[in-house]
Amino acid sequence: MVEKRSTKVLLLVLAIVLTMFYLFPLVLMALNSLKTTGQFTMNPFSLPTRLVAENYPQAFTQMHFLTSLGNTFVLTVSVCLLVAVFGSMAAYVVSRVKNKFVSFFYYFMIASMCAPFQAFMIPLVKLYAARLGFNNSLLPVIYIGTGLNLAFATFLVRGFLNAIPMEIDQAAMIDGCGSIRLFFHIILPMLTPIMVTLLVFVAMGVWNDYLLSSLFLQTQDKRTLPMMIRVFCAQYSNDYAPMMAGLVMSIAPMLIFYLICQKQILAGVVQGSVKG
Amino acid sequence: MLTKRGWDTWKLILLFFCPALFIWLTTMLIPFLYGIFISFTKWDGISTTYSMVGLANYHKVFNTSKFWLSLRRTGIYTVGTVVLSNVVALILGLLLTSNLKGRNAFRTAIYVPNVVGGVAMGYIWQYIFNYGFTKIGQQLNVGWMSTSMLSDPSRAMIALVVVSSWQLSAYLMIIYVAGFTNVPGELVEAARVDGANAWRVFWHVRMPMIRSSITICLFLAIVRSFMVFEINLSLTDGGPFNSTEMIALRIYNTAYVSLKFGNAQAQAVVLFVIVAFISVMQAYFTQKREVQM
Amino acid sequence: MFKKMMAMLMTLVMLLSATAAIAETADHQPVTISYYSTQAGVDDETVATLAKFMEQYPWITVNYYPCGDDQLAAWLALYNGGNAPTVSLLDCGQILNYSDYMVDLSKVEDTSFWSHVLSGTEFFQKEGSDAVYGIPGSYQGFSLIYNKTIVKKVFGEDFDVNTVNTVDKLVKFFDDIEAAGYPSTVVFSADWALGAHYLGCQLFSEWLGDKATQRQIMADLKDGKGGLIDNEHFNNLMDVFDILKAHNINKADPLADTQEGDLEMLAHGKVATMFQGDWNWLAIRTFENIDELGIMPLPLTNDETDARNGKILGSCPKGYAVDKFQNTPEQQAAGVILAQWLALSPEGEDFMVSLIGSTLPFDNVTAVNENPLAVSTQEYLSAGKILDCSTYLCEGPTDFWLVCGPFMQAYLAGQMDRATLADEIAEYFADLD
Repeated sequence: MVEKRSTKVLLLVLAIVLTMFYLFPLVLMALNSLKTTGQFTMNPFSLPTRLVAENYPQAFTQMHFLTSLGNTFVLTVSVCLLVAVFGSMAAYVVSRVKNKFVSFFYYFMIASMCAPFQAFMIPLVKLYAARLGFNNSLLPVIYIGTGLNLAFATFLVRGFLNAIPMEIDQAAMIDGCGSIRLFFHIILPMLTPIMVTLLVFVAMGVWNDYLLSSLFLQTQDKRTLPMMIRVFCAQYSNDYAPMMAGLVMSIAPMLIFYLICQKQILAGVVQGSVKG
Repeated sequence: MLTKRGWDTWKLILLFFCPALFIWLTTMLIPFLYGIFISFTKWDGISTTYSMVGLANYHKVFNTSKFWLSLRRTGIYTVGTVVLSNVVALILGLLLTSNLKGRNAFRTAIYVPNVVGGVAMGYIWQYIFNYGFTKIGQQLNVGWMSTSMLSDPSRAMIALVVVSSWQLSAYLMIIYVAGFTNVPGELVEAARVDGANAWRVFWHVRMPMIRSSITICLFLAIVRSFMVFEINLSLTDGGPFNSTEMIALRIYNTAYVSLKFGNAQAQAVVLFVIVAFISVMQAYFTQKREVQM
Repeated sequence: MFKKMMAMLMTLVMLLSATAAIAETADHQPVTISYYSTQAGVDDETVATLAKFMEQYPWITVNYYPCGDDQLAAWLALYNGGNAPTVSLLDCGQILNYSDYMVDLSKVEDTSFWSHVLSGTEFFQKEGSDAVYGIPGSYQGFSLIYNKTIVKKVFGEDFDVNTVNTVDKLVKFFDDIEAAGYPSTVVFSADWALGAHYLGCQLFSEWLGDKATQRQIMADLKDGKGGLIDNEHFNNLMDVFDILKAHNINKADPLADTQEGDLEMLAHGKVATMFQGDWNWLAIRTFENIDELGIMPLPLTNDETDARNGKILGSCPKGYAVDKFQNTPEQQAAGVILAQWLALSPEGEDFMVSLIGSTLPFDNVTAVNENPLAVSTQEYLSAGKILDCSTYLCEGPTDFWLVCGPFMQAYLAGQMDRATLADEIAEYFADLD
């Protein structure tokens, strides 16, 4: 009993130390968002001598916070929805149908996850902006963002689907359920845990995306939060203090979303384990 | 009957698989083929006409020692990051599925670095390495710690691996936690009753049960490491003296600093072939093992 | 009374200009153009400046495209999207690289604005052609930035830094500062600073000889004929670099510095000098209690009669270029108006001088510059004491700093000797297409 207790304390201490290691740079960021850039440069590790709250309003106006937050939000939600729907549908086919056409393209898609984005970023612009005329618009970013995440989504959901026994499908089929109804009414609800995981991963990536957005969004009213962080970077120097404040503000919504979803992930994972 | 089933299958493929396939074709395959086309040209980045140069770009790439150096470096970095991040993530996964008070809070907190983009984290870590650790080193009079890790080639590489693993392990931890949670408690209990110690329970009961998690994590780690760009750019920017310039950063620089777009595309194609080969192999072997199981 | 009169006068002027504007509108078709600026970090101010332009030229609408982290990728993306900005504020090297797509500004309808431009056009011209592809957007000086407060304390109030005009005197200058208890210099170790500003600009400058000689040496290097190690100027340059290296406050860990950290030391008297340029003011002004600062020449030889030892480096790094590739003639015409307005109008000058802290090589500048380093630059510019480094900036390869900067870093860290450095640079040139 005593030994068990000491192990518990040891584990707790270990967890606390590790957590500090993971949170330290972020604490540093929050701390420095309350200093002046000069103070930050002189000693980024000191506690602020006096709190400089001005960084926040400054960052708020300079980043056009509400506009860019709105754009980032629309982009992230749209990509997540499209990836979830098309990715899980494709994964269902890959998992259930033995077909050369499907598996050929599935492996092709998996392989494409290894294509460096730099390899096709210029062609993407030539195709979508020059040929199709999508200039300064969120639409191509949403569409391409979906495409870039589809392979991963299919891969992830397929793994989960493979663990769901075929018998469930067959039972439903015998009950006269068509494959479309089968998917939306029986399979999809069972995918909840992996879908939440998938969505959190995709959302993080899209929320923080800079490179893709920067290719298609030109004017300030269309820009996203990661793009607006650059307003604090001049060519030869950075205005660190408001930048830190801007970073804190731009990750806050994602952090809140993540904190909410975290519960669902865990609940979903537990649920899934009971069923499996 | 068979034809009806065949038709049903194709209907399913058409309705469920083809939309995703179409989006993927139009956003990845076609642009990528376009990119391959550019790799056979000399192009200034703007012109609407291309002058075909055949395999000249590839010839140049293969004969440039700095390309191979960069590729080798990326390989070393990938091995380091994949191992370190997965080991740490496994430990975290175990720790955070053990009977620990407030484990949900710990999971939540540890994952947070992934909520912040790589560029921002790179800058902050740069300050920690350049000013934080060196100050501690000078105060404690520890020689190797009093100079910055980022100013020495091999130590800068270690720093890059550490920071990448720091972020990546938190990401992979989520997948491992899910994997460990899925291991039935009865199985572990049964092993314990049979007298297995903690290590044996881990190695013989838990590990086999999380095999698919390991596969996913290894795959993600390899791909992400091979294509590392943001942290590379913001933490070391390839320095000191190019010793940490990974292949993605090199491709980017070849295109946008040297303005050699054909050459950059050729490098990207070579990189793609290598990484695609690794991952197809991995997928193939995983598939095989799943069948055996 | 005076105030009242002024107010009336102002109203009158405004009324007049308003009617003038309306009158002009009647003659003009509305046109929409775009502006791309690599002057990062001042987007809101740029938008406000453009709004003033649109008030004065109501028939022109300007869309602003701010640059991203890397300035060229976003610009090329605009071109590839068929969306080329009408006016771009770009590095002179890039403008010349892409001059095929740019309007020759020396042959536009109204060229009278050129009379206000005193210098800097050579940065936007190609060898052997009289076409000019950019209007100078700023003038930047660089060499040894020094902390005046320290120098006054060590050498007295009346000390003239221009008397440090030989290498030996530079060594003594550093030694005296150190004897007084101040570290003498910091070597900023970023690849672009060492590669472009120290090595590139100084190597391919008038120190090598006249323009033709500079070009010849660069061409020889490209042909694989040039051994730099025997070049006298290269050795002088590296001898002085050795001196800076030996006096470097960061000697123990020369590559671990950051730009902000180095500038903070300089601005607060923790180090006396730093080889860099007046553009650093944007970072320096974020500190509190800044010492007096200035720029002084970096002598490279022991010949005090050599005028080059009394000059600082100066360049027009950025210029306004007008696209002719994807913009209609009407847009190009409006673009030329915008480009010269941005460069030469009081509003444009105010933006560059008061906000960015840049010097301008024009004869009509009234805006007051708060940047003490730019004031230094202006003094040397007015006195004609500017070392020409246009060969490197306009004709040098764009990735010179990217490849050779790291060699300089290795040299600074003591991991590469001079002969190897010379070989690596020569090899880089020989390997160019």
